[in-house]
Amino acid sequence: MGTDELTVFTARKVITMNRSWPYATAIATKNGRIMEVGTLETLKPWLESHPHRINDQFADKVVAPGFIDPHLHPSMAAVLLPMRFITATRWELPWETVQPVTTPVDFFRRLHELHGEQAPDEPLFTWGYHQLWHGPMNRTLLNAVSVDRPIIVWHRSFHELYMNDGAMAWLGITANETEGKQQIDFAAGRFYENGLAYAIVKLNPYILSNERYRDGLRRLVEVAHHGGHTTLGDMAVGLFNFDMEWQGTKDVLDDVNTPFRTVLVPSAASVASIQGGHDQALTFMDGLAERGTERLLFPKHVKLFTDGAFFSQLAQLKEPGYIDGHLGEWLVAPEQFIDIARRYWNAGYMIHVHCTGDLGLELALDALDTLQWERPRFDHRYTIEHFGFSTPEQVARIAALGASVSANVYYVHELSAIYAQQGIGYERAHQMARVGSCVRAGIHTAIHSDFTMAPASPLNNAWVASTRKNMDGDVVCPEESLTLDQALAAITIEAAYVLGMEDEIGSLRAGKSADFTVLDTDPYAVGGEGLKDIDVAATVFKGTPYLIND
Amino acid sequence: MLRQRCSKAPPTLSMTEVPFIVIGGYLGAGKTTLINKILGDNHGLRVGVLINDFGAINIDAKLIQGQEGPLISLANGCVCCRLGNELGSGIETLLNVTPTLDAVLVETSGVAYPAKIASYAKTWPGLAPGGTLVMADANRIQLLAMDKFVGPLIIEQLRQADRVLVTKLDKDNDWPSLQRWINAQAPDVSIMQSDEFASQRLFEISASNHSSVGSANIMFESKTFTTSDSLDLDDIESWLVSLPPEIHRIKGIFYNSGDPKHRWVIQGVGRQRAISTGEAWGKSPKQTEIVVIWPTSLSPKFPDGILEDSTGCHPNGKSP
Repeated sequence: MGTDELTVFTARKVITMNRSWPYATAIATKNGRIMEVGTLETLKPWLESHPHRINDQFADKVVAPGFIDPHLHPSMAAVLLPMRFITATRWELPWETVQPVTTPVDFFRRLHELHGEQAPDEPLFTWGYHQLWHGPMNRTLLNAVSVDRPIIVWHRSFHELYMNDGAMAWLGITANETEGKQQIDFAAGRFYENGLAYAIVKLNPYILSNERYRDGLRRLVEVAHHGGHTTLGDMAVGLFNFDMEWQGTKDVLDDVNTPFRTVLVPSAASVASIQGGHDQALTFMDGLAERGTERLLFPKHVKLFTDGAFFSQLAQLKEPGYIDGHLGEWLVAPEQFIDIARRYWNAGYMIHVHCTGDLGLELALDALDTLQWERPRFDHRYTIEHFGFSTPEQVARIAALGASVSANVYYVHELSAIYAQQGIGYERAHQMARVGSCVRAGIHTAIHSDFTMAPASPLNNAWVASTRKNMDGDVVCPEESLTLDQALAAITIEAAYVLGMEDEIGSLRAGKSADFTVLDTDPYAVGGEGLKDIDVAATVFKGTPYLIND
Repeated sequence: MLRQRCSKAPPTLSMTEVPFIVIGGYLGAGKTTLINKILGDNHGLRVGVLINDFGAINIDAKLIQGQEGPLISLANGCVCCRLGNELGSGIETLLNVTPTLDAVLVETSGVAYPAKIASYAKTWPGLAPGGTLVMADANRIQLLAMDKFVGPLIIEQLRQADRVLVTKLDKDNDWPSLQRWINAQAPDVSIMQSDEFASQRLFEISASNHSSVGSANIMFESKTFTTSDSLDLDDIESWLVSLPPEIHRIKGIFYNSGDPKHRWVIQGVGRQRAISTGEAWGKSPKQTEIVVIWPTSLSPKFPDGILEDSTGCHPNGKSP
């Protein structure tokens, strides 16, 4: 094990994200760890006393700390990624570039092509259909592509799907049993809301089968690599089934060829439901650390939830709520929330709380306030996850209570315009993901993708955080944008901080893991506006380069 | 092996839909107590119960007949199923139980909107809407309705009920004023005290909501016939044959003069009826108790004769 030889990576520029030592051109590493960051000149005391080898394969590139997405969902990615994409927007997937398909004729032309490519005995799943571009959809239209092969067309929103005759025969869904039912339109082959839940129960044995789930995870590995990640946070292990997910994770994400580590944060509710209660859940959670490996870590973190999904407008809002008067959802009773949080707080866990609305956030902060009163903790890392709607006054409370923020800034890009029109109005919609205020208040602030909710691309998220451009290209509440430097920190050192790993990853300095993301372009040369167009050339995980072949 | 005498083929899965009954209400309202009662009572119904918090359910080990995967079968014919991440898989599990259950009942989480859960019955093949019962703690409901986090939810839960069941009522409560308050929040619901509620009346829940008249809901009513006299097998068979065709389900035990040591079990779905021997009576009182269930939209005419209607309503009238 180990070697005395140093490997020295040289670069056009090294961005360290260490405020005290911000730039360099060479990094000396040994056994996956950084020995020193500087120049070939300043590294001499090391190089003169140890055998070493210069690796100049990145000499014309820019090296940044390995990117960290502190909140995504490998299990959801594993379900989505095996599907074929037919989308109105361009998607860069490692195995294909999905060209935009924006007319009904082109949609069905593409579906025909995919039908031709797919092995004859496999069902064909597509994702990305949207009526605004692709026109009407129904069983008859899909039968024209194939009556026999099961074809399932999943809507861009994930909220509905369509099937042809082959798919319904395959799943045993009959006209008889669905007659007179709401949210299942048998004639049109359309399943939505509860009907979608029915279709999913029928589809689960296939889409969650071992083989397909592992194929999906392997695709996630490629996607994460292409995005430049060297660390992921799986921020709710147990979304579908804890044991099934853990087995898949162990088989695929713990492979020696996987170029990143995953920090696994179990959902307290999922664990309690399997273990038969919250007392049993805590005992189980305490035992998980032993399962940790080099690439899979179970530090003492736990995921809790307050309110409903941001994309479904189920966030809990303070007055004046939604324009149409509908109510948000609690995912747990408020009095239970604090009971559960107390168990983990008193046991020394780092608590991550999914909060989407300002009332959901209020609950998370009231609970933290109570817990701090009962049993004060200083370096506790209680983290607000997603951080959709908030008030300026709540930012001051987050700071006062010592909490951190991990925000999904992609909300601003995709939803600010539509939520202004059909949700909560301009004033509040434009201030969603108020990350600028957080940084000004001295709060540790990271950004995440929540993939599959947003593309797994830290640079793209950093672009949204610094430009706050929505889908129409309009700038939304520039007062809440991050500077370029803050945006890069949010995908590196700040993200490391919310995962409790800032001593190990997130910046490049002597003693940390040799995790790099290698870029073609210097972000400081192109500014926030240019971030999304920077190509990731390679990553280095624990000193080992993993090239990205375009 | 059971000795079995069948007048027709034994009950099998049919296209008959199972009523889906939702029990909602905030934490501490008494949902679990009610479910424990349904799981323990001898009501003659085979109810499948989807349980949100298994830890809170106190199933007497003596009542458990078997456990298979997520299912626990109980002595009174009920089946419990733990509710996992997906309501749909729990529903499918219970719909696949044989013989077909008389009803599927779901205990919602304390923060659920009952209407959202109840709407599954309008979508799910094999289910029919069976009504929504929302529980309310007499001492807490008005305070909760002002809570900054759950106030609007509490009011909305009451509005989405077909019937509100008020629990923990004592001498200190002003019952008429509480009823007025509930009706001010939710004008269309009927209100009942929990001690008035017997498990057999589960099927009346949907029939009690004025606002559901004219909706597409299939609503059910039930009636229980009892006698403590022993009966001849031939008599009970001819009584069964004389039942009106509108009967959707029939279920019960009878005291057979030809075999006084064992309870005899009657079950039926639609026109299919089966009679078989069951467990020994043991110490339990020997009696005949038969529950029949029919859609509210129909008005079956019941035969006079050997069995008396113990539901407390006129044989051919609607439930109160």
